[in-house]
Amino acid sequence: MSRSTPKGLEVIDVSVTYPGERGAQPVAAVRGVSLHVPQGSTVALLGPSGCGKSTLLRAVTGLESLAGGLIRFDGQDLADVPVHRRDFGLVFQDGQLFAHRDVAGNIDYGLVMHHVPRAERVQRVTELLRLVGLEGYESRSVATLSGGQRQRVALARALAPRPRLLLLDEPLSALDRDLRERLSHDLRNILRSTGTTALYVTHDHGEASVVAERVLTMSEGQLVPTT
Amino acid sequence: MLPVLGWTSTVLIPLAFIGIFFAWPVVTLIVRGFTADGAVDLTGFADVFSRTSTWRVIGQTLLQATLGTVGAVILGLPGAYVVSRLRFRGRAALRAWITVPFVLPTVVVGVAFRSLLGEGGPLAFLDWDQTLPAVVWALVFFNYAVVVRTVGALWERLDPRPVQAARVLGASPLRAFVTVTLPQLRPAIAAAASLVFLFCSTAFGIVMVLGGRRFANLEAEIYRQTTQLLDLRAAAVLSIAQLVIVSIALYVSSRLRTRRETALNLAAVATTSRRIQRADLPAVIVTGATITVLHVLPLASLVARSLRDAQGWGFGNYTALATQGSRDALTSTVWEALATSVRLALAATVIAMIIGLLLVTVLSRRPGKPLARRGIATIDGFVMLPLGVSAVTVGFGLLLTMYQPFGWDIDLRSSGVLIPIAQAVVAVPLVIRLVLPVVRAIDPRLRHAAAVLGASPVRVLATVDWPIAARSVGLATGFAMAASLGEFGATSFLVRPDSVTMPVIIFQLIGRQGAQNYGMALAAAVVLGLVTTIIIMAAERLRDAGAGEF
Repeated sequence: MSRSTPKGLEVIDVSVTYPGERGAQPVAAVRGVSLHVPQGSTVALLGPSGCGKSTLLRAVTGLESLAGGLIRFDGQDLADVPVHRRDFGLVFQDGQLFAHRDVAGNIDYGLVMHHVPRAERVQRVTELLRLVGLEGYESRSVATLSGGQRQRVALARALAPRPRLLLLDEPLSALDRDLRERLSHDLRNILRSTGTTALYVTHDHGEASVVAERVLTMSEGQLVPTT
Repeated sequence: MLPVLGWTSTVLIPLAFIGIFFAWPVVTLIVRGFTADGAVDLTGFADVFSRTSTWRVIGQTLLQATLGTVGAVILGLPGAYVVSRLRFRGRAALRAWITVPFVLPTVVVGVAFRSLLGEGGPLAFLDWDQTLPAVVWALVFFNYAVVVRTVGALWERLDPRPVQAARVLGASPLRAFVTVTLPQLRPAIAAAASLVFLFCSTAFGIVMVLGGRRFANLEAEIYRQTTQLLDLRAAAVLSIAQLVIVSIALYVSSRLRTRRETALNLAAVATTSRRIQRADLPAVIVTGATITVLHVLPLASLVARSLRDAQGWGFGNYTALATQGSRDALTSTVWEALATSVRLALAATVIAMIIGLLLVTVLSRRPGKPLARRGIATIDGFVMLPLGVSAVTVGFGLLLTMYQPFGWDIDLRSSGVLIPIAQAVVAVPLVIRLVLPVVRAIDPRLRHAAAVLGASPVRVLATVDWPIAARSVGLATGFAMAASLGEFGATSFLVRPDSVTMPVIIFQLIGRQGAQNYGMALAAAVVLGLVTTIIIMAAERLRDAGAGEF
């Protein structure tokens, strides 16, 4: 029996350590975490703030360096792949839209970086705005958007270059409760309909179970074994 | 009743000061250029602008300012990154050090570059003495700090996550910098650049020492027309040309300042800096090399050569400071000049602080009435003018107006009181720029809370504003003192032979023949530079995160 490499994201025994400030002990933010996100599915990482879930997410994108372990995608070790060549998408808690670009300019950004021809880019932006329910918003300034609209644009921006993996870092936490519930259903539908592979970080149990097929819990830098 | 009277004098005293000692002289100067014998007469313009030398001087002014600005911005950006985004041992000391060259007296820096590039200097083989590269190098020496400080202050607060978002979306580090960071920094870069352009185009001491006749700018030419050729008309016309250039730069600068910080992703400062990583090495290396070549080299050369005289190494040049130079080149000893300088600078500092703080008190209020608000905005623009208007113009204008001012039978020009007044006029905008942002940042509700608790307006100032602003006031005092000590442009017009200041005596010494006089110039420059550095380093200890930029 040959061992076939699993498709999707594999996190194998990963640790992330922050250097201590002014001679203090280093802080182990993530300690020996292993998990698997199969292709086309969504896994949620649930846990209180400070448990290391966001750090793990940033390590997957390549924004944090690993103290140990390895991260693979479709069997390929990502250790030597810089952030901008991983073809991942990332959605922050508060959007982090480019304030100096309009809505279309934000969604367009990743497409330009991937050398997508202009005509195709325009079409893709329209398509994504329809997907997130913001048709006709192309030339709006991002400063005029509400919190929920910003997160929709952030999602569209991350999805535009068709990332192999979408990472969502508490994307709905800054919104109020009603909106959060509505958007979490929208989010699930978008992820399913586009067949996106996604890792979803949240501290809200309800949200996690709506969006993800599988929910993993983290505490103090480690995964809590599922009972 | 009393508050009204108090506010009136708070507004009127500084406005009267600036009106009499700045606006009136400058306006008189302009009128002088447009009239002859009491009638409008533009032949002065026709005459001056038909000379090819005029156009050469204007061309030099613009060329030097442009090259100095480009150099300061290109070298300053990596420096801004290093001091604002990276965390390392000695960062605070580096930040303080970067400011020192900006406030060193221009004559000191001119002599330092002379010692490096001139005859017998370590870089004499470049043959750059009295050339354009020397002037531009020295201009960048001064203005590097303006770019590092202004851009760094914004960079420090930029949220790192938009860049991370760009990186995840497929942008290389360079692409992310160009497409995300640079657009966000653009307002600060533009504001810094226009300020640097302003400083470069009004540089006087540097050009007088390093440029010679061939590379004279408008400032130097105004001085020459006034003091050597005694052609006051031509000087007035050139001053008007200078005012036009300065007004344009000031206008651009203030437009860019108000547009700053709109639509930016800002974060708490503490979260944005990190340790040095391998990717930071190019910026670190460029910054290290810049500071070494730009600042350390000329200053080290100055100190080293000041310790050499005809007998070899030693303090011969320093002991000579107690003499009047070889063949009695000077009218007083250098130590006497230092005492004069300190006395005048102390007086100038007191005046500048009184006027500056009164103005800060007025400008920091946000009254409800639209008329009062508009009035404050107007004062704001008016009092910043001396920052841009060249010191030479101020000195020349005072010379024109202070002979029997208002018909009084006194000649203020020969009384010596004009020197500290002129130095204070130059220092007031500096005081305002350092203190006003701190006072403006005080939440007005704090004052309201104090007033509701029973504090009178004066008590509110004493118990709310003062404790918060005290550090920046100390910082501003140091800067005002340093600026007054090194002031050369206005002082050179007003100084009397029996009480010369340090910058003036240094300039006289390098103009005289003889190795001993040159050695004394080097030693005097070291002394003046040292005094200024000590004042600034002491003042910098008072700077905290909230203090303004220059």
